[in-house]
Amino acid sequence: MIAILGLLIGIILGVFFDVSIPARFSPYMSVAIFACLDSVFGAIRASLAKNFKADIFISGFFGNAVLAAALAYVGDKLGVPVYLATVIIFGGRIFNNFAVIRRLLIEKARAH
Amino acid sequence: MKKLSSQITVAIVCCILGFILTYQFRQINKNQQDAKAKINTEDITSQIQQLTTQKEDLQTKLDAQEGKIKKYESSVANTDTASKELLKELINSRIVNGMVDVKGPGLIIEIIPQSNLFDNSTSESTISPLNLSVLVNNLIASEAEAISINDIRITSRTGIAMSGNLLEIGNIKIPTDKKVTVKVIGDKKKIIYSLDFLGILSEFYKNGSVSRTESNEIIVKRYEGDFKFDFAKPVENK
Repeated sequence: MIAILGLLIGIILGVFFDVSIPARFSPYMSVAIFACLDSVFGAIRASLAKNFKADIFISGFFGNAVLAAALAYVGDKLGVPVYLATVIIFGGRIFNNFAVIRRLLIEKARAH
Repeated sequence: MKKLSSQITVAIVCCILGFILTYQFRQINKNQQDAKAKINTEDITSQIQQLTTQKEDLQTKLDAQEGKIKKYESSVANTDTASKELLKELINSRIVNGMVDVKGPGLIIEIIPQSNLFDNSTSESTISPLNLSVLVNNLIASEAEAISINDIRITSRTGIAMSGNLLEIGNIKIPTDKKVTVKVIGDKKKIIYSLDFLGILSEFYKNGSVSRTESNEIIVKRYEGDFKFDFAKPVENK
């Protein structure tokens, strides 16, 4: 619940506040967002499995984002599309997490 | 206590995620729109350049053809008095119809609409076709002999109307938020009297500024289109 509230506040801030981040960082931001989404899905899964730890979530959130952006940047400089690797890995993880979330929710619903 | 702090940190992290997501969506939309606008501007610029070159070419050809016609006319007119009279009539009717450049004393009226820098309304701050029509009508009523708006000659078949957000004079479109120059040849006293006494320009003063310059040699360019009469035919006297 608190996560959704935070997300809504963030969206409202994003709509009303015009912060200028240089346009050249835009592609790295996209990859970083993908990594963040993976962390959020992981957090939802962990909270449903009742083994959520805030410090692991936060370190994963920022760590994944920075690593993904850095890899995309290095790949860009080397002429290797490394961002594809991050997209595939994080995409796969998001789907895995979603599958686990789905199962946990269905099991919870059956138990009631 | 530990649970509360962890919940707050989760909220903050989600807030950051929401912000970054929204920012990225906006940025990508903006980039796409900018790219579209850039393509459109480039296309339009190249089209304008092409059309300008075409117009210049056609004008050169037209001038050459008209030069030939003048030669024919003068050679025919040299033959007898009747032909000379006919040529005189022809030249006169051309002046009346605005088919030749004319010069003479008159007025240059410049209408400058106010800038919309601090005003978001678009309806009141532009030059309206109605006010411009009233001005032209009064200039004609004060016996003006030649009138042009932004070098577009006003003839008996020139209409002034709104076309989208542009002013259409004849078949040529001009922006309503840029300076409009009206050149008029005629009796300066009569024209000034008409403008001042009837307060014709007062409507333009409301939405911008107007400047008037008297001159003894104003050149009013000719009408550049052609007169086509598809419906009106002369009545034959029986």
